Amino acid sequence: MAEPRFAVGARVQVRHLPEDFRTEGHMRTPGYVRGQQGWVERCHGSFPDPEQRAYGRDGLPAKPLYLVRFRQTDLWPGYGGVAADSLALDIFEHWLESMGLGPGETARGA
Amino acid sequence: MSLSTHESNFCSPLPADFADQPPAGYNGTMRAMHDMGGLPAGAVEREEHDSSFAERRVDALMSLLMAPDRAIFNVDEMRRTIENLPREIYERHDYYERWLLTIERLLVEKGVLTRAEIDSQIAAMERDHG
Repeated sequence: MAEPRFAVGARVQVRHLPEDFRTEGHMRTPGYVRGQQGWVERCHGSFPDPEQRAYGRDGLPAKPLYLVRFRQTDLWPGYGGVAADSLALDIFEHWLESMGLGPGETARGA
Repeated sequence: MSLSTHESNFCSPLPADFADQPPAGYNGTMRAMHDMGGLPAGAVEREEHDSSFAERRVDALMSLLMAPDRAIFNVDEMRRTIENLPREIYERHDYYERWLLTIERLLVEKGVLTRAEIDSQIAAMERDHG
């Protein structure tokens, strides 16, 4: 069981790298949040990595899974809804980068 | 639901691992074909409809193959296989047809059946039932 890297309230950015846009492989993070910033609402605990289990591996060690919340106005240019609207997604830790602004966030272990 | 032998016979070696390189022609916005969130699309059809007998059988087959006491494959392998269907096949078939094609591919990948066994059984059924 991995120790969660991010505390509740931590600002995070979803990874947005060329290799994350492979069209093969199994990725659990949708394109529309990649590169976007949100904040950790809760940590669900740690779970076997589905992106590894998709290839018959055991997906261990288990990875922390977070509920990450985004502002809709950040995700969609010209969003026509209420400014306070938000969207929450379950995202595994390896998809998240720290924005270094979160209260109580712990440094990544060596 | 109708799948010809030809359409179902597209098994190819699956990637053993992620290729940690951007695909050729990467332009910074490329997504896998199933990753549709936020893309332009028509209205969502909200009408309920009955499932067909064939669809219910496919659903049952999937449940049995993924049941804990068998676990021929898991839901992540199933999703990976659907997502890696050739685009023209993915787009041509509906939800449960994709499930059926995925079951075929995974049973071959796992060594439960061979492609030849599936094809010969389909041919025999077509012969017997037209």
